[in-house]
Amino acid sequence: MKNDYDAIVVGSGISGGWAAKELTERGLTVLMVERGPAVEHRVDYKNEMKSPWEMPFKGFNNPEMLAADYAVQSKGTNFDEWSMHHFVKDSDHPYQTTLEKPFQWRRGYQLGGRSLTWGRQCYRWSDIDFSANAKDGYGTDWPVRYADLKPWYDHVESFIGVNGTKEELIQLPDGIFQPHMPLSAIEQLLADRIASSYDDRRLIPGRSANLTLPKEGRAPCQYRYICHRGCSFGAYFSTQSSTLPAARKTGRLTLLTDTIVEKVNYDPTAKKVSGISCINAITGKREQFTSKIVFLNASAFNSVGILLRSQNDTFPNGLANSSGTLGKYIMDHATTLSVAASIDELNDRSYFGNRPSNFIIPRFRNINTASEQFLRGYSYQGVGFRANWKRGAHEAGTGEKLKNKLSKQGEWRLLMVAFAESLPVASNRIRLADKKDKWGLPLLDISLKHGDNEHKLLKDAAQQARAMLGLTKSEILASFDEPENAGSAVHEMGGARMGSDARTSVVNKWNQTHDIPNLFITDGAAMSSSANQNPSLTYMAFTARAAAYAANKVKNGQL
Amino acid sequence: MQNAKLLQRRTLVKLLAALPLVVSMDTFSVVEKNENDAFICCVAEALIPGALKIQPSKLLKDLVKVGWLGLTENSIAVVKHSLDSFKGNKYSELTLAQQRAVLSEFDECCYNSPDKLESQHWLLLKNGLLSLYFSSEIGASGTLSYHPVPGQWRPDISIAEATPAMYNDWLAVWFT
Ligand SMILES: Cc1cc2nc3c(=O)[nH]c(=O)nc-3n(C[C@H](O)[C@H](O)[C@H](O)COP(=O)(O)OP(=O)(O)OC[C@H]3O[C@@H](n4cnc5c(N)ncnc54)[C@H](O)[C@@H]3O)c2cc1C
Ligand code: SF4
Repeated sequence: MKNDYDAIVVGSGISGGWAAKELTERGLTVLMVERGPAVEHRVDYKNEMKSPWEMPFKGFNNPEMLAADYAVQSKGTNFDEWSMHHFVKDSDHPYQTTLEKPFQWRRGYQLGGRSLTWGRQCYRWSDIDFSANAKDGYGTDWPVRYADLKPWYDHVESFIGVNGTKEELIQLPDGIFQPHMPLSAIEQLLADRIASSYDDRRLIPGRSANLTLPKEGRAPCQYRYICHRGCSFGAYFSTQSSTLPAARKTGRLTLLTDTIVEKVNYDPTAKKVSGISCINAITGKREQFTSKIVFLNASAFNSVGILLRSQNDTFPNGLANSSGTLGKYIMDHATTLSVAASIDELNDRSYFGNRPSNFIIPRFRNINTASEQFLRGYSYQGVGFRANWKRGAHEAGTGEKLKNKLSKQGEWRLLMVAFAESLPVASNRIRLADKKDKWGLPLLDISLKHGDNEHKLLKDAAQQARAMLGLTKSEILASFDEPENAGSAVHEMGGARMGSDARTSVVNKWNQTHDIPNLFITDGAAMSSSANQNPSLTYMAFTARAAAYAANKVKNGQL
Repeated sequence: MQNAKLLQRRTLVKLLAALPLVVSMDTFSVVEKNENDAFICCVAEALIPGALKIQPSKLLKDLVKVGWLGLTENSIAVVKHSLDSFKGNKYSELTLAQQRAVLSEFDECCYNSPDKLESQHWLLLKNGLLSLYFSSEIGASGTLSYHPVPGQWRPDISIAEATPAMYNDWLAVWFT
């Protein structure tokens, strides 16, 4: 195996896969380094086709093992007995979190990263989002606007396949969509009632990276909703189904798994990075690789961690950190279940199949009018479905009557989860802890507290959700207005923010560090604000855009 | 919030987390194993006719060792003790018809007094037995309609077309 490449990409998840695809397709030789094991498309989805009775714990897992090894990972969606090996063992990958409400850091260390387990919701950001920092003064102004990203959103959506509807909303730009996955009957009922009662909001089908039409070697979705196990149909976007095959096809990709990037090496004479130092995750053997450019795509907080670990005489507080902002202004959407209700309407209607998506109610606050109570806004993602057999344990009943009842679908239920924008503040930060992991690398210490504005947004979200459910014949079962632990949205971002001023930000508008021209950070670390939309589509667009820029510079001999 | 049903999720979680503590405080002796097996089989069959076919006691044996779905041997012992003394006769010695009637009455009482120790243990056992049954091949493919690959999404159909209930309910998502 050779040691020198045009580009090194650190991490093989959603953003790393895109960096590898774009850089190889633009003619560069690329080494993609992944700390976790190889997971090959189809062959390694070991539990995908297993029925519950084939699972040792019937799909409900071993609680002793969860407590010992998966205390954080098991507290969230898409983790189950089938998919647990797609999440890290918390016991092997500890971190520190100092607040009374611990940060919930959900991770997947394997080839493909969290592209295997993500929820696939894909939303463009709008100019309302890119100009928010400039407008209210929180964070630093983005040096880009929607027009800069639009062609790259087009590029990414065309490749990954996103289903959705055109809505012409200024707060949620339309994209290039495959046919959408329609609303269930009860969702359509609520959508109609909202449309006739409110001018400022709309309930629309979710936009998700699940194919409704076939696409280059990938089959359309089969409506199983078990995507987090890995999908042999290739029907949702993952590194495995999409970007990795594309990068491999070029013949210019070298993939190294089970290899932890310890640090990025800096050459003070050339004032450039020269490559990376790695540790073999299994043998502990150390190795170095060199390249013309380095792309950091290890996921937002891990990329920041690598930079903090890469401190040297020129950058004593972390590589590319002359601004002193590295590790600061981290964010995660404040989220909670705004409402859960049972609905006593459309009792003669139902649905067939498991749609691997949801509905959304895009942001409606602070769009055309300004709230005096809070800045920015929130959106909801939700689902209307019929209760399943599990309801049997919540109500009295036994014998034939119970069996008969549970063999039929239960009542309609409707849930709405709010995602509120997280303001960028300096006190929310990551730093290196004194404690070390089993490879001798310092743990990350993560401190993120949702502020007053986030609390106010979620209070309003709960009130509004209940009011909207009030348009139906419903009984509210639960409604929460306090944020879950930070991290539970799994939209952690920031820490190496983008800005036009080298004194106050880490990367420029090309995701290139201000301090070191051949070092790029194109995952969530570079985000300067959080908006309220799921962020991964935007990471992909930024990555593709930065890769095109960097490849051009390399080819012209400028990097 | 005004509505009493609007329990904060955290409160619910705390209540659930407190459950094992309550359980470990009581002192029921562990019942003799075979008797235990017979008891599980009787309760399972009375709860879901046909459940005997999935061999519930055999399946539960290893699962309770790790506290599967919060269920422990102690829960089973508490429920056994309660059912044995509920009408003055040993539960497994009743006829099937009597077992069904007694279980139905006991179940009703437990939902009416959810704070009682035996109610909490019964709810755990009931949930465990339902989960075992509906996760078994007989329960999932037979009683329900387990479709590992539904192949289509029909968003609005008549309820008559939608029974039996399940297409594939093992979704690792928060809303099931
Ligand atoms: C359950 C769940 C649901 C989600 N739903 C959505 C959604 O609907 N929409 C959305 O937009 N986002 C969603 N997300 C978030 C989404 O998964 C992340 O935003 C996205 O994966 C980030 O991409 P990434 O490439 O930065 O990181 P990842 O996909 O996490 O990949 C990072 C990779 O880097 C590797 N790595 C880390 N450190 C090192 C190192 N030192 N050396 C080498 N390799 C390293 C990791 O092993 C990993 O493979 C969800 C996440 C989860 C877990
Ligand atoms: S729901 Fe669709 S994308 Fe998800 S696993 Fe099934 S076929 Fe694949």
